[in-house]
Amino acid sequence: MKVRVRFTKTGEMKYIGHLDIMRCFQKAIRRAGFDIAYSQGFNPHQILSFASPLSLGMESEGEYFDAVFNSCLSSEKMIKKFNKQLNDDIRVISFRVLPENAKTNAMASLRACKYRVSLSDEVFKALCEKGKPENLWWDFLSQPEITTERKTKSKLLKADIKPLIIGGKLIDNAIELMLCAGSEKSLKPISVINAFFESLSFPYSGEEAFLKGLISITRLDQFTVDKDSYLSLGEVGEIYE
Amino acid sequence: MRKLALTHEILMQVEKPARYLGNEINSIHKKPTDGMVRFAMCFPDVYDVGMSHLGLPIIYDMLNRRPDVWCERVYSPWPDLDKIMRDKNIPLFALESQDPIKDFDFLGITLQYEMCYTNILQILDLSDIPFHSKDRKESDPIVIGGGPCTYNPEPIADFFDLFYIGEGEISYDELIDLYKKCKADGKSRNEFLVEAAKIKGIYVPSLYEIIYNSDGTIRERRALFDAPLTVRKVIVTDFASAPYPQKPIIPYMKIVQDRAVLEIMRGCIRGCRFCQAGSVYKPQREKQLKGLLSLAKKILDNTGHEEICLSSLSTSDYSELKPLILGLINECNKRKINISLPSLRIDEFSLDVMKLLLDVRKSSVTFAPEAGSQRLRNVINKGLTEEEILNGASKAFIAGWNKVKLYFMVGQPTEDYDDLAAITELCEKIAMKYYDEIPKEQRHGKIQISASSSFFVPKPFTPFQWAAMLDRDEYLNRAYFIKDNFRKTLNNKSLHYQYNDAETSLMEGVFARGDRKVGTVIETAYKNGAMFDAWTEYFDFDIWKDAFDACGVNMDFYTGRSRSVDEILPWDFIDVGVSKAFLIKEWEKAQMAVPTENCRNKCAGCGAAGFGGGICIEG
Ligand code: SF4
Repeated sequence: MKVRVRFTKTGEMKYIGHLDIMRCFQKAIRRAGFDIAYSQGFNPHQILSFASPLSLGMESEGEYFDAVFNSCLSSEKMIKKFNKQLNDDIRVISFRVLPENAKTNAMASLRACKYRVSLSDEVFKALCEKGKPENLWWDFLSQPEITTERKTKSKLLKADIKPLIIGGKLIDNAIELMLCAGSEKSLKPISVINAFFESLSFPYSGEEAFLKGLISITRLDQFTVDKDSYLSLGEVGEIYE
Repeated sequence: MRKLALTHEILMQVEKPARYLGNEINSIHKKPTDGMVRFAMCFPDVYDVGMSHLGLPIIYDMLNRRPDVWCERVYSPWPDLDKIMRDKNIPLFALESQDPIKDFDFLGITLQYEMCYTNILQILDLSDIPFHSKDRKESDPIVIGGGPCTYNPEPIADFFDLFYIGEGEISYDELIDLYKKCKADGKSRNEFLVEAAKIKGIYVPSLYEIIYNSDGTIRERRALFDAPLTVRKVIVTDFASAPYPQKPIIPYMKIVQDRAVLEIMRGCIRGCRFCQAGSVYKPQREKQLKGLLSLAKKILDNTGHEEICLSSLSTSDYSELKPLILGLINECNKRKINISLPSLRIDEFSLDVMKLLLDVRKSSVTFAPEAGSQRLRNVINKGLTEEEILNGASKAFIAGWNKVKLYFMVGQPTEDYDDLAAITELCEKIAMKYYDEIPKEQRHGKIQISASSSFFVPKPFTPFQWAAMLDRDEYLNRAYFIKDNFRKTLNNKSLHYQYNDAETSLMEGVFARGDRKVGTVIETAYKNGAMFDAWTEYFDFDIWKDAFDACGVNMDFYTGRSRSVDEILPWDFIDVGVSKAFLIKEWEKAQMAVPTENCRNKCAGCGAAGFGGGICIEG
């Protein structure tokens, strides 16, 4: 049976990289003694496939991986057993069985990610000095094009990121962003903040602000598309009784 | 979220921030209470290396069983963080509590290899603890050294308040109880040290005065304050029931040895004359089969590791090896877990096991003859004959292997160019065996033999402790000679030879048999930028050469000189159980190329029977 696990990654765990999280789950699964399926071959390994990797330093309320189990207990019990093996900063919050005929895994079906960018007092103050924050954000987002520049080894690449922004709003001192994600087109929240800060002529880029801890970023959830609307990856499949 | 010692900005700046968090599963977090003894256990190298080591978890587990002690870990910050900490004046902290080391009661540093010595100073420096024991204040932690390098602690004697000589399981309780008592009685640091020197296995270097002859050798060691003249190592005699961590810490990041480790035995029955571990860990003691299998299950249940490995000095000598390995294979197959076996002696059984565990086409069989000729193998007492090697190789070829690895040492006592030529000859004989015995249609391609040699470093408490080490040029001449011979062989396309660089071994040579005069060199080199010397990318021989010059210390005095057996050696005050008379006898037998039987065949009377445990008693 194919299952999908949703987990959160907060606090200190944000400094643990994607591959390490994977290994952490593989070990937790062994400790819990789950009946997971292994690959064939000389060194059999658990088949876990993670949705899009989260950048180091970001927290998340919606991380996912798919796995194949030979058998399992109820979703509720599985969540409890998982969490017994994890710490407070990494919690499993949903365990669902995917339909037998599910063709795609979490990574392949991913279409969008939702983020919350929280501004520190310092950044929020700087923003207020430039005008009314809601208006500044609105002006930024309603430009016909939002171009960003990216340097490669040989040339300067210009791109319009606006088509990749599905939605965005500023509430109090946080910006919520819904961005395209997945293998075809994908946008990082930092790119949006870079462009926003540049439009305000802030002395630091979004990237710098993130590294310095002036803004913090949380991934709220990841989505696929179902009948023309966005559906949380965690709502695919059924709760196992 | 608990308070971290490093800010978000710093954690995002350094490579692998997971090294500095201390939040791993199974790590031990306690609530500090009044009077709780805070113990920081340090491995003076980067986390990835330090966390792979077996000794520290044993002490971590043992000390934390006491409710009145909290033992935490600390490793060397990698150079990227090291620089930031210096620039921003951030004190070194213990991983679990993230509290500054300076506020601890004890800082224990495990010394696994000589090339970590400058990192000791890095740890003290970043912790803001004075380098010299004599300069420390009442509030500074008591700095303890432990581990294999303490069998000659003299080069680093000034940096430590005390050394713990022997196995960690024995005297820590007494030491901590004494510390608590001294504190309660309002005794000073020095009063504590004088008392501590009376505990078995504890050596307090500041209580001794060394008087030198004009030629630089030692004339006399004087003990002050009634400190004992010799310090006898402490060992676990009832090893089978010694506690072993069942819930080792599970690192998040990938470390050098990311697996469960099962210690199956301590000490070694063999008496290889170059080997310090074989001598200082005597006598050989084993864990019982039944206990090991259930321990393995518990560790795997508690860690979820996907690999388990056996730890000992010579796995093939474990008396119940066959049932142990078969039992483990059975358990690990169920769990889809790899077993990693340290190189076993090649015979039918080990080949059968390796066939089960390894991909024959990709893996290789390994031999460690250490010397090319039978004569020299007798000198070093390596009980491995050419016939055994060739037979083993031929069995491996029949079983499908075509890759062979061989390990040698260059520069052992009495070695001449015939012995070196024999290295190539042995490799050629192995290659011939392959082509003679395996019909063309059954061969999986060419034979591949890779031989490598290291530069022999004489170590304390071995029969070779009196021997001279080669100088750099002669070592290289010998290595080139072997390389040349390999080039001239018929099968030169399938035979490969490589040798270690000379500089690191020369440094090890100085540290291994150094005296207290070497300490100033280490300090000078550190001040001039030496750190992480065990890492080729950071080791800079020029800094060391300059430091020796600046301190007026001659490297050659320590490496190039053969000592007479009457000389007082810097480490003579330590009693490892193996008697000096025995070492002298072995040194003489070595000159005559006469081998000595191993402990299982016939006790050679080394003196370790005095501990009253292990193979000497059980036979
Ligand atoms: S006393 Fe004998 S049996 Fe014991 S370690 Fe020494 S040589 Fe081996």
